[in-house]
Amino acid sequence: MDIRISRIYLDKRTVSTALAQKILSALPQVTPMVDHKDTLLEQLLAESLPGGKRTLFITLDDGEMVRPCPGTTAPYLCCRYSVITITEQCPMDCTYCILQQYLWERPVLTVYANPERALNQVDCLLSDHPGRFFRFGTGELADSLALESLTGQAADLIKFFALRKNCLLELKTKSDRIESLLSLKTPGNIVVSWSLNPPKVIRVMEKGSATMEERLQAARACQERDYLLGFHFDPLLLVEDWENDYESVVESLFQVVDPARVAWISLGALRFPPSLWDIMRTRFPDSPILNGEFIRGLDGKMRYPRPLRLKLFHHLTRQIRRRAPDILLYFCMEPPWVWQEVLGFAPASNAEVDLLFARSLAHRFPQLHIEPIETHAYHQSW
Amino acid sequence: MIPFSLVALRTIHPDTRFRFTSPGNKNQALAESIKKRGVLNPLPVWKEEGGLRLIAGFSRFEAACEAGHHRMPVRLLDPNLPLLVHLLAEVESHTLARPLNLVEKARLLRLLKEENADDELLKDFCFLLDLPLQQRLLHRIEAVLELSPTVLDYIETNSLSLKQAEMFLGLSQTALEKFIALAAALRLRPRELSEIITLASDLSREDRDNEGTFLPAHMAEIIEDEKLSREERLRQIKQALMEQRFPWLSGYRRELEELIRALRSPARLRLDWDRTLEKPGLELWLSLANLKDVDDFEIWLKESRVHDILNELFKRL
Repeated sequence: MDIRISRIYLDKRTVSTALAQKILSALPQVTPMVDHKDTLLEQLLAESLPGGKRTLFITLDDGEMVRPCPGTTAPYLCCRYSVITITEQCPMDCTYCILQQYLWERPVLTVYANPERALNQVDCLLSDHPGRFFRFGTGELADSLALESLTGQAADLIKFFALRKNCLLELKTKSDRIESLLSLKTPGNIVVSWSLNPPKVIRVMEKGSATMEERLQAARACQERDYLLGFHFDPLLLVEDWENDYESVVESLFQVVDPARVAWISLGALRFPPSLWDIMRTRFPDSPILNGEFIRGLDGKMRYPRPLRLKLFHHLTRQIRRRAPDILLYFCMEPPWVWQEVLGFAPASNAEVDLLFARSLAHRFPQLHIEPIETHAYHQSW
Repeated sequence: MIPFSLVALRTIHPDTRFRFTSPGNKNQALAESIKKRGVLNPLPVWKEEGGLRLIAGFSRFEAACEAGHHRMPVRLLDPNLPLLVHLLAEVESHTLARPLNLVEKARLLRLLKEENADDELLKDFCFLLDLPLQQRLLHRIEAVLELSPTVLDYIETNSLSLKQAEMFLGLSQTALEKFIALAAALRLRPRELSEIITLASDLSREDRDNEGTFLPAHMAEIIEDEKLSREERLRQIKQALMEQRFPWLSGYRRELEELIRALRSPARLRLDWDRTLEKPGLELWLSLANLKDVDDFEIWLKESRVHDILNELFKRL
């Protein structure tokens, strides 16, 4: 996957930061536009989404850089992932990507040159909640590794988390940009994870991402370097012949990776806010997604009707369980009755989902040295 | 008092590019008044070689022409100020009377582009027109002018917002005409028309010239059926479209409805389900007037036929 950057907007305050210097020296052919943040922000409003994917905005984040994943509202269950935002937007161009709508007003690749602020916030959070195991990730508003060759941010985070206890870092990606990870001494609390879809979906709907083969090879390389792995069948799509396609993906996955190294696998059927529909119609008018039948869920998001989602989940669960019975399987944004029907149990709350992770990880990966789980700590918000 | 001159009508040259209100919106009272008393409010004109350029007051000018006046009062615009600044003042006086509609705003934006308005002036216009200064949004507004006059008329008449008007963008001319005709026949509100266009467009994504043909074949009959209320005609058209666009959902719902009908439940009992299918199970409304109702309900519930159907319903829901 090649990153093509044709414009750089540089917030004046970041000029002398190590990160800005690193990026500029990696892109000597691009002359940055240096100005006050507000002035640059005004100009960024004029950027289109395709242009924004070739535009880099280097600035400082003055607010909260570590937040709970926004997830969705009840009755749908969420896993209480903690999101570290040091980058926003993604150079890949997936048809269904929520960032098209979510970051509509600033559709440029944004890199925050003050990651130390985020790391301080991580430390504060850990010290404020000693009895709780935290899962942090950078893959919510960005792809965790897509810009790694320019920024080296993931490698810096790995070094930081290597020294932290009772937490792990998940690097979620659709790329195969793992070079910087392979040269590090691997700490036990890093999960590198990939989102998976059938090759034909990747080809048509995940423009600019690595092929499935490349993702699996990257996963194998990480496994060989003792990283934990994660996989996300998300979004699951009801494309033609989906049963055979997803079965092949699961089969390919377990031909390459050892289930014992897989920390978790998530299942999430396609869902999106209604406003994304118009964006997809305009940007990808021929996408098969637009032929789908959706209902407006109880959280206002568009989803496949529950009976169709259940078919997807039952099928995937059977395929995965057959090959890897012990792996933690979870749903992203599904109601408890879907958990119950497919997995045979239903967490009572988001806190229970969070606990499920901690217990599974503590049991399967003793090297994480998870401190004794204090259930009450999980029922506190932060 | 504003200084003005009386000039011969033939010396005035209307620059219709500056006309942002629709020529079709004739004000009868104004025409009558001008016919009787002539133009009382002088027209703003820009002096240039060969005559006077009219940049506002087109309706008054046309009414004066129609009334057969030969002279009319004009107010010469200050040549030391840019023409667009004068236009800004004219727009301001318009907006005091009523807010401009989307098409009028689009016309102004196009004019500003043609006249190479600078950023400051654009900012002033946006403020006046209650528009955010976002190029992408301004382009989208201007794009509305690519629509046919019939559609623009619908947008103006119904005071459509940009979001509502965008339902027309990208549709073929044939389809547009069919949709506008449908809107007129059923007196469709913008939201109703938007639902129909969305469904029909979804059905025709692979055949972009034929959006209109995806309206149900028997639509003409439904529209012309005077025995049916407007609401019923609209409901039938929408239902036919929904069944084409959502075959799985329609089929699933139909099956559930058939099962519920087969229950032949007592009159005072109503069974339903969450129409999004997200919440599992059935919802039951039961009104009991006396003990006989209770007995009837109990007997009905114990029928093995009812048990089997309920079991089937629970499986599906």
